Formats: sequence, C-alpha cells, structure tokens
Amino acid sequence: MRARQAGQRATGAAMLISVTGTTMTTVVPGIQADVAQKVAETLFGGIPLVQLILQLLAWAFLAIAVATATSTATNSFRIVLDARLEEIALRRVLGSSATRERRRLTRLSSRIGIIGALLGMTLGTLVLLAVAPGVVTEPFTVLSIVVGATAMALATVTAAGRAAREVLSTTAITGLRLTRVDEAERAPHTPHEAGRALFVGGLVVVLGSVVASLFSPFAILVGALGGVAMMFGALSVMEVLLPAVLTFITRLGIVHGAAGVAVQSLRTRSAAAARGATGVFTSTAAVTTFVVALATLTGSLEDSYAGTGHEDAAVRVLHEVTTQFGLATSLLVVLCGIGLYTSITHSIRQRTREIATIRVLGQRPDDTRRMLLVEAGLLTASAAVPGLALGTFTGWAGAQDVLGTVRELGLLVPVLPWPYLLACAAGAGLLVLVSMRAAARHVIEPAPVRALATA
Amino acid sequence: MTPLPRAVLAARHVHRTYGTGPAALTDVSADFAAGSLTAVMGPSGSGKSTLLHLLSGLDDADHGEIRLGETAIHDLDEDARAELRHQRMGFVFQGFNLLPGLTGLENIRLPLRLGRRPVTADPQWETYLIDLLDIADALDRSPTQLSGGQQQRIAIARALLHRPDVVFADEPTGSLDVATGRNVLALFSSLVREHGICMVMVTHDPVAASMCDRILVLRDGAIEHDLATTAPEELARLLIGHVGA
Repeated sequence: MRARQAGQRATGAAMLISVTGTTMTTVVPGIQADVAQKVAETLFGGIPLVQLILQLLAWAFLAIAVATATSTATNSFRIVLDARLEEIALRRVLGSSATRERRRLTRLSSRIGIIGALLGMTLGTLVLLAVAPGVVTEPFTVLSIVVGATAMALATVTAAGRAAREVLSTTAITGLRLTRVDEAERAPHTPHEAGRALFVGGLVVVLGSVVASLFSPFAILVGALGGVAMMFGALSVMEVLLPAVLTFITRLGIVHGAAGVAVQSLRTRSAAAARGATGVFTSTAAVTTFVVALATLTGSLEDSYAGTGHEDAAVRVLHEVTTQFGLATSLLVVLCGIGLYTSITHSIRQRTREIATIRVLGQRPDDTRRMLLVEAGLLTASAAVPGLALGTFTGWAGAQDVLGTVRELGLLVPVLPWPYLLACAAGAGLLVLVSMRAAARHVIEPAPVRALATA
Repeated sequence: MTPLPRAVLAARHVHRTYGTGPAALTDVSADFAAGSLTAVMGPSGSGKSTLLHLLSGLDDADHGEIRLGETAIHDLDEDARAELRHQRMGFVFQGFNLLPGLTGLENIRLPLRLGRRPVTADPQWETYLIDLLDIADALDRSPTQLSGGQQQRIAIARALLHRPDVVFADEPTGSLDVATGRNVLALFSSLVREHGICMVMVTHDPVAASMCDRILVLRDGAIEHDLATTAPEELARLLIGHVGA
C-alpha cells in the first residue's frame, strides 16, 4: 500500500512535468512568431539580419526548452520507478514475469507521455490564444508545437524504457533485496567519462560557435547544440559533482551534529540525490541561459543605439522581446519548481526509516525539521549554483553568437541581473521550505515508532 | 505513586487502545529494577511491543502512569520525551537500524550528535565497549559491509555509549543466527550485572527469555505471568499450552 501510494505520487509528478514541459514547448515558438510579427511592424522590420536573428534565437530557445523539459521528464520518470521498485519486485516474486512488468511500465509511461503531451499542447495553445492569438495557425508555430510535443512524449517513454531495463535486469528476489539495502550497494554507475567527454566537447563547440559567429549568424544553432551537449554532459557528472560539493562543505566545518548526519547521508545516496538534483540543475541552467542572454543582448543593443535617434524604437523592440520570452522563461521556472519539489520530497521520503531511527534515539521534532531543511538546502544549492554558472556561460555565448556579426560591438560583457539572482535565491528558499514541510509532515507528524513501523 | 526501591522504571495501571479495536494493554503495572534483564513474551497481538513503546515514551498511554526514576514520562511533551530518550535510554532493534551513511564508529557515536544538551563521550567507556563487543574491525566500515552479528553489536554499543539508565531491545536476536543470538544475550546479561543497567527485552524466543532474570508473559493486553528465571521448556510449554487451550 505504502509503495503504491509513493508510486502514485511520483506518477502524478511525472505527469505534471510532462504537461508543463509540453506547455512550454508549445508556447515558445508561438511567442517567437508573435515577436517577429511585432518587430516587422517597426523600423527594424526591414532589416533581414534582425528577422534572421530572431528566427535563430527562437530555434535555439526551442532546442534548449525541449532539452530541459525532456531531461526533467526523464529524471522524474526515474524517480517514479524508484518509488515503485518494491512494488515491482514484489509482483515479480509473486509470479509476474519481467516481460509483463516491462509491458506494464511501457503502458504507464505511454499514458503519461501521450496524455501529458495532449494536455500540455491544449494548455499551451490556450496561453497562446490569450497572449498572441494571431500566430496560432502559423505553419511554423504548428510545426514547432508538434515537434515539441512529440519530443516530450518520446522522452517520457524512452526514459521509462531505460529505467525499466535497469530495474528488471536482476532476478526477482535480487530485485526485492535491492529495494531494502543501501543505495551504495545497488547504485548502477553511469560512465562519468562519457559525460565528461560530452561536457568538454560541448564546451569546445560553444567556444567554436563564438568564433564562428564573427562570420555567420547561423553560429547560434551550432552554439545551441553545444550548450545542450554541455548541459547533458554536466548532468551525467552530477553524481561525481554532488559528493564533491558535499565533501567540500563537510571540510569547511560549518555543519555539525544532526545536520552533519544529513550531509553524510546525502553523500552515501549520491546517485539518488544527484538524480533528484538534476531537475534543479537543468532548469536553473536553462532559465539562467535565457535571462543572461536577454540581459546581455538588451544591454549591448541599448548601448549601441544610444544617441542614434532610434533609441526609443530599439528599447521598445527589446522590451517586447524580453517580455515575451520572459513569459516562456517563467514556464521554465514552474518546471524548475516542480523538479525541486519532487527531488526534495522524494529524497526525504526515501529516508523515512533513517529519520524515524534518529527520532527514536532522541532527536526533537524541531531539530529533525532543521536537519531536513539543511539537507534540502544543500541539495538545492549544490545543483543550483553549478546551474547558474553554466547558464551564465551559455547565455553569454548565446548573446555573443547572435551579435557576433555586429563587429563594432566587440566582445560582450555577460550581464547577470541582480534582481534575477535575488529572485532565484528567494524562490529557491521558499520552495525548499514548502517542499521540506510537505515531506516532513510524512516523517515527523506520526509518532517515531509509527514512522519506523511504516518505513 | 512511590517507586519501589531500586525501581528504575515503573508502570502503573497503564491502558492503551488503538482506534476502535480491542485494548492493546489493559491495566498493566510493573516495576523494572536497575541491574535486571527482563524479557517480555507473549503471542502476537498480546501487547508486548505496545508496552515497550509506552515504557520508552515512544507512544502515549490512554491513562496510567509511567516513571523513569522520579520523572513522570506520561506528563512530558514530545520534546521532553525526546530529550529523555536521548539522555537516559538506549534502543536495540531487530533490524539493527544503523544509518547506512555512517561508518560503524559514527553510528556508535550518533547519540552524541543528537539533542540539545550535549551528551559527553567517555573515551574509556567507548574503548571498553568496543573491546567487549569485539567490533574494532567494524569501526571504519559501512553497515552494508558488516554481518548481521557485527551490525547488532554496533547497535548495542550505540545503545550503551551514553550510559543510559534503561535499554529497550525489541527482538534483538530475531535477525541473527542461533550462535550469534546467544552471544548477544550473554553480552546483555554481563552488561546488566556488571554495570547496573536496566534492560527490557521483547522476544518470542523461549531460550532467549530463559537467560533473563525475569519474564513477563502477556496475553490479550494483560500480564498473565510474572516469572523469575525459567527453563525454556517451561516457557515454551506455557506459551504452547495457551495455543492449545
């Protein structure tokens, strides 16, 4: 019953992420088309390079949005299966075959993928009808919506298939045992070398695109691919990065007592914790990419048009672009929030037995809450800070790619708006608090002995 | 209620019912002295675990009194009970419940990291326990690298490190093989005698219970027998006799 409830909660989270992700991939191309239409009505509309840049920016935006949404969906499905491990193992011990279980999981993931994509497309279309009704029937918009939704549905099904292979590759009884042992014993290690190579390769491509942008505006497309490769590369090294960050924090000597226990526990479960942190990392990196790219572009172009007589028109266009893409970015923030909530609640629920033991041994409920807050904060910060760093770099590279052909602007200076950073910190803090409280209710409200019995 | 001489832990007229079901404990009274090892036996559903949870402040009685020395546990709030468990009680579980993120030594020292009033470590006592329990080789290893017997000995060291007045053990030999289980019980016995600890142990095993100074047999939420050391055959007969009755 407990495993089933955990599975249902995780399935709900996967569905929510699928819907939000598809909504975003639906809204982004529509917004791009709307911005292009509005810019065409200004004095910049006649400049072919401006239209081309907007088109390329939209494709880069869409590529990163799809990558972020699919990566978050993949991650959440891994969490779905983690939560259902015990249920699946029990079914196999009781006679269900691996093939049958694989089929069940495929059916479940297909349902989540297809329903999520349809709901997301509908919701995204409604958003577009509200903010940019004129573009919904544009061929580019329709094509992009279909591509985005299909990518999201396929990502969910593929992620389920990959996770199911991993879960069902052991014998039934081994599977049951594995659900009851330490993560360290069962962690299937992904090849970090491949991740590292992808990250370094992506970095080289992004830097190459910056150079290439001096000669062609199409460099942004290559740069976007490099950025996505960097993001996925960084994801697969999170498993290494997270324990390194936690070790560093331990060495700083700033965590003591039960908070220190939380840090050690996170280090031991670094594979699961890294999986949880990836959603936060990806979303933070993607949102930061957009924010930095837009702020850097805006700052540079405003400087460039200052005193030319076209300053007001330029500011209006840039404001339009920033506002519209800001709407798309806010959907990414929602995705980030869901990812963070899922990560923290999953991480805490996984430790129900451990937390109950600590409470039986004499920890006060308030101290347990504080310990969980430290754990959730560390998990978030260790994913969000590298995400911010990567996003700042890729955002700057994106802006540089876009304006590379405008030689007189020279090398752009990346702009990371302080209000954004403060909003990030405040939003993350609030989400950590809300997620921690929601999950903590499950492990702190029952008497410790009851929590231990049901763990 | 005046505690009996040397009674560390005392329960008076304790009653507990869960939901609308039958009473899990009905009017249970018992004293537990320092330097005694008491087994609590009985068939499933007889109230053994409920009694252990109430005595240790892990659960609330509907009515009745529970005292640890002069402290009225039944009057304490959850924070105060947690502090009491932290300062004066130790726990040994059937499933060991070691934290997988900590090494053997870190698990032993875990109680020192909890609570608001720091519990001071006594290095000599720690060394004594490690030698007595023969766990020097297990200190730097993760619980998953240890055998069941080693894990339980680590758990026993954790329960004793802060020199508690009472140790509660819930089926401490349930996950161990016969020989290891007997070793653990012999260890309990010597710790109780040499250091004056009060130990209350829930068990289904008549042989384990026969190694205790006293055996409480519960049935339907009430104490049916309060026995001194009794042969395992006699305990088995008592329990099986009821099944047949």
